[in-house]
Amino acid sequence: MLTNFEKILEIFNQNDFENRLKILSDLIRSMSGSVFVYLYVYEEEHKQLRLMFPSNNLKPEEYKIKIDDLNSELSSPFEYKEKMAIPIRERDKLIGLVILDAGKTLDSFQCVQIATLLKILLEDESNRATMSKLVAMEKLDNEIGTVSTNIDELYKKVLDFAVEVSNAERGTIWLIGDRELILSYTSGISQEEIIKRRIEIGYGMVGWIAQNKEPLLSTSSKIDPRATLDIFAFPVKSTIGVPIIRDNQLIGVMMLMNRKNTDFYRTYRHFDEFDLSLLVSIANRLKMAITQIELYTKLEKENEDLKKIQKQSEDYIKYQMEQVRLLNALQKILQALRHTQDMKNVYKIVLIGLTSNSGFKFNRALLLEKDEELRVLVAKEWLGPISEKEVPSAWKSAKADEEKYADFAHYLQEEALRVDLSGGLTSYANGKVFSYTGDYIFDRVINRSRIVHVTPMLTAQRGEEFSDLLGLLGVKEFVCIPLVGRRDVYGAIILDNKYTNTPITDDMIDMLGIFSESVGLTIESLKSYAELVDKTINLEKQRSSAEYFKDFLQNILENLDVAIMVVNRESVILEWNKKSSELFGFEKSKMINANTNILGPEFADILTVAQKVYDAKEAINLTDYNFKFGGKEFFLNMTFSPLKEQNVDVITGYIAMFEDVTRRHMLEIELRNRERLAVLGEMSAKIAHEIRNPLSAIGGFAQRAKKITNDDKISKYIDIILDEVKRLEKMVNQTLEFSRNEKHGNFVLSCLNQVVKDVVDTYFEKFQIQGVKIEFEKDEKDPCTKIEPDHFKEVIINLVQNAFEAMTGSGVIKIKTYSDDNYIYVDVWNNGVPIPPDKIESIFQPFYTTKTYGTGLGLAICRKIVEDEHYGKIKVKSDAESGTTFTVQIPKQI
Amino acid sequence: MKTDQKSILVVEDEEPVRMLIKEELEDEGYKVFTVKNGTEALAYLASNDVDLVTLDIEMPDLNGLDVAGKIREMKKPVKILILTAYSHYRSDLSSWAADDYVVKSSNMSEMKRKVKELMED
Repeated sequence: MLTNFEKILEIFNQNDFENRLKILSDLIRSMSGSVFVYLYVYEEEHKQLRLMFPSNNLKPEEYKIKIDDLNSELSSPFEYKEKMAIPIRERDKLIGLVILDAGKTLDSFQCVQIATLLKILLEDESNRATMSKLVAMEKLDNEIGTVSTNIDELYKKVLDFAVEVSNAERGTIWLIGDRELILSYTSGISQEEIIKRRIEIGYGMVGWIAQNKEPLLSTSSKIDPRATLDIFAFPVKSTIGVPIIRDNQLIGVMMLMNRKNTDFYRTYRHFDEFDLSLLVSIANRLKMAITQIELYTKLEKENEDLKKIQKQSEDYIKYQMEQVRLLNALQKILQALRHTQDMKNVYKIVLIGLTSNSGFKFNRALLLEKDEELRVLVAKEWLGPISEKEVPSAWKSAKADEEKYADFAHYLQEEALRVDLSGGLTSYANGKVFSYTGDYIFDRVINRSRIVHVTPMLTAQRGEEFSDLLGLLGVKEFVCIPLVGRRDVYGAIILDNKYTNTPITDDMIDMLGIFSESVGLTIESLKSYAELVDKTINLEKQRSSAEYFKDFLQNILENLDVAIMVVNRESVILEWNKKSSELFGFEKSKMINANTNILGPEFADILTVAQKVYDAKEAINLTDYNFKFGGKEFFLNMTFSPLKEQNVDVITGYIAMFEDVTRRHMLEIELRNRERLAVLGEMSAKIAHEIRNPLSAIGGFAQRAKKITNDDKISKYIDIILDEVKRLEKMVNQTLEFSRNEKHGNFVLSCLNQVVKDVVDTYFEKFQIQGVKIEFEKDEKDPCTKIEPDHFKEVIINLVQNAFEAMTGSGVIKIKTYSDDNYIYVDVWNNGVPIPPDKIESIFQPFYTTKTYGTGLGLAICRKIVEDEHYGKIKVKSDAESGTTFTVQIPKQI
Repeated sequence: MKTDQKSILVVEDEEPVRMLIKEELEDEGYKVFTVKNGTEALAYLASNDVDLVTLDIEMPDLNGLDVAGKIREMKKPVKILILTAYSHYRSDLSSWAADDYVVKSSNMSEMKRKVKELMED
């Protein structure tokens, strides 16, 4: 017993299963005394005995002994192929067989001993295998722990591990798809061996596991009805499979197929419950690893998101900072504009601000000014480098200039004063004109106050519509902004990044919107200011012109041919012009600021009328007012106008205007007279004509009667009739003469001396008899002119006869001809009774006569002939001292 | 009974004047016929010849000047003397068909002188 116990210790001290079996077999040899010892293990599953030791020196057919081939109950030793076979039983259960040399045997006690040892050895080996698997699991855990986040790698690794640790030939992982299972990972399977890659849930063992979400152990797939053999091309002998479940959700199935025969201690070749439980725990680990990976992935993603968010917020901060910077720049530009009054500098500041590094950073800025009349935009100034080549130096120097100033606004102001934009880029654009009516871009910009951002895409699509502008700019992207005020759009600016090709962002467009309006408003207020300055200057000019105007008015007032008097409410004379002085004889110096009383009582009526303007509130007119003043008679037109304060309905006085119309009034009276006379004359002629016929008959028959009568008394009466008829006939003749329509008779160039001499000759003797002498003083120049000789002679006759008739007794009639440059004169003078002054105006009136037998038409006819026919003048001067002179004056040239 | 006696046609609408002229001229030895208007005058002259016609200007039907024109159209060797109430026709005489004119007056001597002058032409 002690020996056996030592043997047992010796057995388990061996670290190798082979060695342990050798020690056991040595023990059996020593117990039985047999040279050869063969140790078989019973495999219940295959009803066979399998050789375990020694593993060599034996024919292959001796490795396995089917118990059906043995003619034994296997309860006691029996002869087997000339050797002795001793069954090893543990509590009546066969567990092995020992074959010894013929004649050698083991007793029943020894058999029990051997059985016990064998059983312990097998169990120990099984435990050791289990242990090694558990250790492997730990290794798996470690490996999974360090596995990458790649889930493919995880599946692959876990599957390989499961295959290895379970001693399986092959392994598969099927992942669930859309109501099917997809063969996703394989181990130990070549592509050719795969028949189906996708199977329905419920199909075959894999499908069953997926459907039932339970692990499955097939002792032998060949006999399991769920086994389907059309998935793989290799024979499947046994399988184990587990569902991969996470959060009650099936994600796939892991299957291992065909266990490899490597475990000597195993009494069967198929997978067993242990393998399955191992696989379950592997699946659990897989599940955990997946969760972990997913978690990690999620974390990773969250981290990624977090980073993204962080980046975004950084970008946003950057963007915000840029916006703030631009706003500040705008603020500075506006500040610079506020300190500028010259529009030229205003535009420069705007252009510099838009292109400078501290400003809007555009490569180029082009200013277009609006021409309202022509409805076009005119290119004015263009700021930026001329060419790519110029860019580095231009920007470098601009940056350097900029850095000299701490304040951007200050820089803009100074730079605008310093820089001359007339050359450079401006020379390419200067004077270019773009209509803004109907233009694709400018119509929007100017007429709708929109910012137009021309993107490269827009240029590609519609570039033809603004090819002129594209030709000038030579870029595919630019932005055009209006300069918008409250009242008007003043122009536009085109901005581009020709050299840097920096895209123009929507944020920039937004900022330009603010820029456009603010700058527009500033320009507007500057323009308004300029207008205000202009207006102020004009006002100044007007003020000085008001002074001039006042002088001018005074001048007019003084030179007016109308007397003007201005009187205030207190009846004080404020104005008294030159004509007033002339007309009324009052000195201006005495009149100004004097009361109207100074004018005297003759003005009382006039001033009373003037006062009425205060009630009437409108001008009062008096026409042809007969005004007697200073012993003279005037006819005056008067107007009294209320004097009002400008724009106020308060009458502070009146303006009196006096127009001397005396002469005109007289002429009018004369004209009226003449008209009256013309009518009278015509009537007289009619009557005279009607009278002449009967008068001829009366006179004619009276003469015939006289011839045939011898009665003295009748003859005397007939003479009276004849005298009266003669008088009537003379009157009729004169009346007809006066009223005849024929004005211009037969004008002949005549020398007046001769005409007058003919008359003098006619009357000379006749008058001499009556004591009246005619003296004729001839003009030595012997003036001649065209006259109607008969009519003119009649005038002289009339005057001579009148002169004769004016004589009482003897006297002299002096006739004189003389002339000047324009006129020829004939004076007929007598020293008879003078014409009384009050009659002197009447003597030329027809039918006016002082003579008993006069017709009253003689002088009227004279005047008619001289004045109406010859355009001359007949005048009379008469007084007691110098006598009476009639002067006939006729023009040399009619 | 054609004699050496000169004949005159007096055309005058007013009877007393017509009568006066007729008597005055008959006193001078002329054979005087009278009519009272232009129409009658032209009718008379269409069938009779006279040596002289005195024509009043103002007449109710035809104006004396027009009558003179029509008489001239007859191409007769007849003298025409215009008697007028007006005294200012002298200058226009040349444009008339008449040979002379005389202003009517109670004094017939001027008229008779002119008639005589014309008859002696």
